[in-house]
Amino acid sequence: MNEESIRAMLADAISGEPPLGPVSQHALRAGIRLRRRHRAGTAGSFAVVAGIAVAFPLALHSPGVSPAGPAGRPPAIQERAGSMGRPGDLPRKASFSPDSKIVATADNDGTARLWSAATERQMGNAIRVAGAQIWGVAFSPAGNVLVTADTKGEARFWSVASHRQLGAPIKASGWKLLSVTFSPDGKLLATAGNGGTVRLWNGITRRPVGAPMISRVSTVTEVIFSPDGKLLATSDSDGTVRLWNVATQRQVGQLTNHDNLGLLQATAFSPDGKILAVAAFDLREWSVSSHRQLGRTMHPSEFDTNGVVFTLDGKTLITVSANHLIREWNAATHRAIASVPVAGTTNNFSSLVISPDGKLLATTSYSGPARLWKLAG
Amino acid sequence: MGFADEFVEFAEVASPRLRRTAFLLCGDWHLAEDLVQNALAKVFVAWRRIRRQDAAYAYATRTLMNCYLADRRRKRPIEVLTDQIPDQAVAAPAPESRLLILTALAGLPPGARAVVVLRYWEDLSVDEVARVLGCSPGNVRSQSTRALSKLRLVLGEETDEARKERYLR
Repeated sequence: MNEESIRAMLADAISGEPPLGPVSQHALRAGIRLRRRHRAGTAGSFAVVAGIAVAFPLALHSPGVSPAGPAGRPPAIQERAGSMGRPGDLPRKASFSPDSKIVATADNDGTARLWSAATERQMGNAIRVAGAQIWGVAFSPAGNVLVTADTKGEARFWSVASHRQLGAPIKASGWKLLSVTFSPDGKLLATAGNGGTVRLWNGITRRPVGAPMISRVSTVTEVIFSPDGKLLATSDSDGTVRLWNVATQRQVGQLTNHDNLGLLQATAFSPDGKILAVAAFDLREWSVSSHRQLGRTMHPSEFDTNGVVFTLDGKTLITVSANHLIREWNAATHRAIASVPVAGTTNNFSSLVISPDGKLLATTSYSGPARLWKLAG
Repeated sequence: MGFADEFVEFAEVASPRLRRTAFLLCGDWHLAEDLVQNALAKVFVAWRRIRRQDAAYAYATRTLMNCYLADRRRKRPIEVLTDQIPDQAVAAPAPESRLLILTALAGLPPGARAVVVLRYWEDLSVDEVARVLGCSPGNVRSQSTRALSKLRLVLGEETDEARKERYLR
């Protein structure tokens, strides 16, 4: 079955179409009314704004959820007016410093940049690695060191204050690294990327710890530590999430969502470490101990759910998707709480992180710079 | 030509094509017609800005997609299909084959369905589909791959003979 067959079947499916009604005339009349309403300044339906804006207004029509939400409260998320960077910037990923004051981005031009969360201005020069592109960035728990992971397979350490490289790089892999992170106590560093290998390193001496942990696929897109540092969760390119015991470096579990035909986008542990939220096309919560799905599957978007985070109290999940949607979910009941409609073509979100103090969100998108959002409550 | 006349002329030409696209998405000719009407009304509101014909068609498609994906009345084709099969489909293939692709489409999430219809019915490029739907080209590609895999599962692999017999009568 190839694309040609699909084309033929689609063409086939419309045969026997009934005659068209007076669509054009009705559309004209309806259009005149809409235009009148818009000129009168009535918010009217969101549809009016949708017709005018060049931006894609899908976010304004989030099915089943009004901005106030069924729970009746306004969204906790507020847009901040600016952005970190200029219109041409396209960071892939963002990461907060432990004190929530600095945001590190891995940019499309292969550099890493640091931004003040308060002013949204770049701090110092961009961090560059000769002959490589930086794909992953992470702060040490002490906040004074930034580690970058790049396409040469190396992890490098940089002073956050001076942006100077600290010591020799770790030659973590012969392949592109995609993800790097410190353990919560800063003693270990985890790296993952192409080649399907996840490795642990001593955070101080930078020597390897244990043997490589091998996934059965060619690419591991993300590695994260559980809040207590005892487990690793890795995301494989075939949609499998694996749980590993950090001390033994043995795989202890596997979460396979057979309904998900594609890519994992994001994973997040709950603050108490008992739940792992997995965002792919849909959003699911998994028990870390039993490896079984908890409760209903959530459907944040018609497109992939590109980012998921827990709020600090663990009660709410926040998701982003490429159709300009930020949504809040009750983490226990899995009911949608609210949607934040976001206008503008550069808000087709590609990732989401939350600040350690729980007050800010940072998003990246497919068409624009990273942005910060205030979280109330 | 007057402003409104110009719009109506565009709408006359565009609506049959738009309605077919909408039908492939929602499986219901009446709903498809409603969607097209709503989309064209919004196109009219922006008409002054987008009067160039090719820009207007792209804008109309984008608006149609927005209307479709936002519409809570989206039906799944399998529910309404029995109403749609005409009594005398002289040149049309057997109803079963139409049922097949529409059922298969119904099994896709709406976003994936939109990608399939835009790529393989409207024949838009990956970049064009990304622009219409407001996502990345990578997203379009991965959606297409996933959707085709799923369609293959549902439709099964056909022999060349069976396919020819079905579609090239």
